[in-house]
Amino acid sequence: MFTDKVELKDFEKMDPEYQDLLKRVLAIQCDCEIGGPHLYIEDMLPNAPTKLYQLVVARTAAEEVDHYRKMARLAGDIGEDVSYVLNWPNQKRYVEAFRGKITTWEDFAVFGFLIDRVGRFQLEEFEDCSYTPLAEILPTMELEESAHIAFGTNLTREMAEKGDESKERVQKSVNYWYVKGLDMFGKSDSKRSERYRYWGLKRRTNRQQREEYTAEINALITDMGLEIPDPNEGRLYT
Amino acid sequence: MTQAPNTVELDEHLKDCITAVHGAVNLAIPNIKDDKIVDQALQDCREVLDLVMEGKVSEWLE
Repeated sequence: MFTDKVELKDFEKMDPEYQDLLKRVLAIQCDCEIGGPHLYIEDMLPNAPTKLYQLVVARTAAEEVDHYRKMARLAGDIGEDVSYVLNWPNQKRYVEAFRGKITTWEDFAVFGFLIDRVGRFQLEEFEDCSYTPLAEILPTMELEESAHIAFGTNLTREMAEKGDESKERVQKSVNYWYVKGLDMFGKSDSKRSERYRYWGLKRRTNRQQREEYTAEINALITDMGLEIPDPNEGRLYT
Repeated sequence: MTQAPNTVELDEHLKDCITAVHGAVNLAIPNIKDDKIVDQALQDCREVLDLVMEGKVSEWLE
């Protein structure tokens, strides 16, 4: 296992596999950060139920753009131009969860509750990672991501507590995003994931992350009085 | 290490966009009952975020 810390000035001296993995993970991270706003800006900014919520949508999007900016700067500094993901059509995104569109307030809420939570897990992987510039940008990003998650979780809970049609609609959104979230962790036996861990760029296996995530969200879904969806229905990766 | 082209310029441009959205939101939220201020803020946010979503990087850097 590689346990050294790598600064920008050391990057060129690193093993080509390390260089490739870091460039790859930064490109995917950038795609996920900008992929969120691409899902919801068009419909949610003008159509969130109140003007205050519309402002929250705008602020959330700006924070995600800022996360993209920070990751893109790291990638650019090591010679990787990731600006191409800024205007990719949603269908082209690296991660399947970002290939659709969010057109309902329930989906916006559950996206924050479940998918931004995956984003937090992914950021946690880089805490104290071997590439110091990446570890250093995390604290603000994690704080903001936690706020998005809290907002989405609270909204989801409110919708569930209203019961009847509101609860049915939010359950439908949970059913949709639940498996997308589980798939975002990738294959449990991913060889590449092992190499990320070897080089100190990630901490947990895909399986570990997915199990921890599942335990966390299942407890919350149950507490909200919602049904835990079938974790195998429509899954791409296990 | 050779930096990718336009890394700094793109970073600065996006920073300006983000600052503009935060500025509009921060002005509007304390004045949430003032429709004129809030509507203007939302329009400003929309314009900036639409430009970012279009992602026409070469135009931004001209």
